[in-house]
Amino acid sequence: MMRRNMKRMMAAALVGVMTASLALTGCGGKDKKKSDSGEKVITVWSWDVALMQLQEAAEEYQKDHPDVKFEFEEMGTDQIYKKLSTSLATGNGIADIISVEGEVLVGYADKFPEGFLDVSDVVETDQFLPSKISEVSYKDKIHAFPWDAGPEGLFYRTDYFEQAEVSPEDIKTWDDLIEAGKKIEAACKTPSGDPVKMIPVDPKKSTIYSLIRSQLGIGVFDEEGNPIVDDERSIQAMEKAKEIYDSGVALNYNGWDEYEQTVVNESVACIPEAVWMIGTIKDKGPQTEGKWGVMDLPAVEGGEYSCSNGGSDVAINAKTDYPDEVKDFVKFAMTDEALQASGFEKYGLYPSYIPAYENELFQKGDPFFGEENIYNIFIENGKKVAEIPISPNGQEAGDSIGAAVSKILLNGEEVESVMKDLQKELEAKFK
Amino acid sequence: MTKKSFVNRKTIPYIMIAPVVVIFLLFMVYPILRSLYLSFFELVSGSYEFVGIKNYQNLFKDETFWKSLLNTCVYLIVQVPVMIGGALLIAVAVEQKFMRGKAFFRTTIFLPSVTALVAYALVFKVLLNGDHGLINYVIEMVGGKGINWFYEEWPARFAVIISITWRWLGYNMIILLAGIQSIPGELMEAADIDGATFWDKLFYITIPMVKPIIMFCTITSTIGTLQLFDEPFILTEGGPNNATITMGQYLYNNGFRYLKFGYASAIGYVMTVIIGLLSIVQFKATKED
Amino acid sequence: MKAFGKIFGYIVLIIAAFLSLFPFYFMFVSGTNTNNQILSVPPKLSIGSELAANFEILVDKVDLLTSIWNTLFISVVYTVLALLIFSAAGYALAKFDFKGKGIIFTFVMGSMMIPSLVMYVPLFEMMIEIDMTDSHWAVILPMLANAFGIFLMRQNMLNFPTALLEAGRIDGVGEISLFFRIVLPNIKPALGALVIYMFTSMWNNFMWPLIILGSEEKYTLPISLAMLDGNPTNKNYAVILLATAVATLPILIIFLVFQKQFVAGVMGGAVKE
Repeated sequence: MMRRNMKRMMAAALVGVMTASLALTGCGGKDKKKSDSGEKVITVWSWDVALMQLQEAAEEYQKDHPDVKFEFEEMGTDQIYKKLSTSLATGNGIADIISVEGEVLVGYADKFPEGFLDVSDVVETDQFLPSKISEVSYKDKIHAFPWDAGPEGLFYRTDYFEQAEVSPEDIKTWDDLIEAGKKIEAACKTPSGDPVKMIPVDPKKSTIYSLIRSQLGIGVFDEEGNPIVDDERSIQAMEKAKEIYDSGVALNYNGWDEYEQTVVNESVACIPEAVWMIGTIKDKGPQTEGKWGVMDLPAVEGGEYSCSNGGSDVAINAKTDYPDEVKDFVKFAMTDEALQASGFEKYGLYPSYIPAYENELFQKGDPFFGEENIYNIFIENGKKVAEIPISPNGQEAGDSIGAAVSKILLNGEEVESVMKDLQKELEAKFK
Repeated sequence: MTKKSFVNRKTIPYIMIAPVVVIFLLFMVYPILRSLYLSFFELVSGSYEFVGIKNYQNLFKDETFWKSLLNTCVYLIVQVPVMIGGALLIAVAVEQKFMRGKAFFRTTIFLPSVTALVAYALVFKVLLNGDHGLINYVIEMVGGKGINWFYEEWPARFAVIISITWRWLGYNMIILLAGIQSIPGELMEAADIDGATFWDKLFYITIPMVKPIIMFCTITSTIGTLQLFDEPFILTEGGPNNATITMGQYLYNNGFRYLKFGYASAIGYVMTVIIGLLSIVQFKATKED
Repeated sequence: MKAFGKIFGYIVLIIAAFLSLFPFYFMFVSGTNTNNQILSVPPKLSIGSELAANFEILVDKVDLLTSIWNTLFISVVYTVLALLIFSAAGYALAKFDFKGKGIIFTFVMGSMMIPSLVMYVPLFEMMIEIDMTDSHWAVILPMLANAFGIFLMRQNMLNFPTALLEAGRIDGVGEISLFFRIVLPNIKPALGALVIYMFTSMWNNFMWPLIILGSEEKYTLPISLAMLDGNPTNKNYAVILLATAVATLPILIIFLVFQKQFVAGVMGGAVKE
């Protein structure tokens, strides 16, 4: 008797709480963003400068398409990725248009091949930098519109160079950079009185190795996705990274905040970095106006390519209610010359859309960086970046390489054996 | 039991416990079973494929996982005793009769456990900076050699240990303090009359009296340390050479960065087993005396 | 010897208090300085004049009032629900014998050992199934499966005098009013401890709200803070730290108000066993 009563009660309680929670959902749940007047509302997730640029593009676009409305939501990169990781499988709760950094796009494209809308029909591949096209293409599908690119150059402090009587022309190779670095360290002091170092290096990350490896034209994986870090060129790149670090001209940094500090504190004479660094330098080092120049990256023997770092793409949720309108808008935003030029001028978003380089802006240069036109170097280097095969395992491999870099730079282990071990580790993980 | 009173002494416990049971069934039992199930699958091209126990097999061959286990154990063995010991000492110091400003010390020392992570990370990077950090400045002032906190494996581990201790010491101190306050005053007075020293009182009265609370703090800190994630994530990103990566962080990397949810779930279950075993050992240790 | 001990005690506490306060000081002072002053070596540690400018950037970037309101709403509702549900459960577990009690208690305690990160994906799938994403209730309800709160309540109820309950029953007080009128008023310290614990854990909760909330008007403070931190290539630490200071203040106030109960409540929870 008692037992039966109990069971019935428990069941009733269960149903009660469940209906209660479902009822609560009703009032808190999300309402589909379709308004009654037949307006089309497109939602956009992006961050900071990319968001502002997309907002300006939307304003332009609405002049000809008054029926399309936009809703912009500012999100951090981390925020976007956490949401994509949990929700891209269903497309539920995700905006129509999403900014994604180039290096993480392929991971989503691999795990959720149906997650983003195929934009092959609207992307004219010969109009964009080849390295960006290979970044967004995966398994016969273009998963996103290429947007800003990150061709690299060597930012250098003209005043430190003069003080140490080093001429930029002297730095042709990484070895030259080391020699010049020694002179600069001996001759120059930062405003707070420390000796000036040549370049910032994070000895726990793959950055410097990846740069030199890209100059040699190979990636971490080959076309079939097999790891090739024990390749001769990969080993050569790591040897060079070690040489630079061991020579003592590098300044250690730990994480992005300390990287920015090198600009604030004027503690380095050179920064090999992508074109977007212009924005960070202007912002974090306003006192250094007119003291910076840009030259080509130091070369490595046998390296005929350049390097790029960062940049983002614009993906479209495959479950969007308005695929045609969304595609049309993104194409407009990504291929309107004037918009691409102003996006670079205002926000440092360097276009990967080649016709945009014709804009007069790219002929002028930037007074912060002196008389010379610094953009030519980036435009040329952008075209010289090798089309390195991409892999969905890039993030995980990158972490393993970071650990290998610490072994070599910090623990002084031998390059070749570390790289052989790394090759075995990656093979075991991604066979 | 009459029919009209539905709520009575027999039914009331079931009514009282029902909401918790329902909530746990929905939001704990289901996710646990589901992620246990997922740990036998892997996400391939948008759908889950059954892989059997491959995730678990791979885990045992995965060097990074072993390293994360080792690091977690290092944190556990070094950090938990240091923190509990420190918390106890500070709690005892605050409770000394002569001490003035008890409320001030209690509050300020508790504060770190409510700090936001960004602030905490920036401050510790500033304090531990190799060239200009306050901590190295002090070390050099007393004649030592500055330590390369973030670029050598053991110093990096200690940097993490220092930060966790800073953040959680006050929290444990507050809990221990509560126990110390409950020790009858006569006991201490009697000891004073007998001429007991500070250390006599600490070892023969305070510690035995608050032993259950010490165990409580130890167990909760152990569980916390085994699931540690924030500190290495923001201070060292797990480096150098994975010297500071924890199991929790490796789980996060696999699930949210490498998008391997099956593998991440497998890591989660191995962690659960380890935490469970350790907790049982600690519970047993408490019960025995 | 005695004097030496006193001095030593003070030195230890003053150092501990200084170390504990310093990061707070840094946080509040940084909100009044420029980004570059914070990144300088050594960072500027005196109060600057940029507070208004930083605040302007902050409110321009983040809908501060909305996210404070959202966080407050979620935290208060969560805390109230937790108080009710956990104290009821703790009462049942501590003061009654009933079928399944052992299993329920063991399971609740065991759930503490499972890393919460593994549960987010299944929970999220579930929320999609019942179409409950992007709502504040979806943030609150799953977080009620919190073992520590239940444990704390049970431990506090264990030493609640049974005689008091029996006396009430003899006087003909119903079981429900017994709980509300006799039990709850007598365990105020424990409830205070639970308030602090629940409120702070929800106020600072980041991962789950981030996953489940989709639109800006529903965001909580930690999510809005993460947004400030989101630009991959250029960060404004002054604004981030100012926002952090704003977000930490309410927690400090809650702690200072409920401090006494917190200490006593945790004590009630920890000593018994």
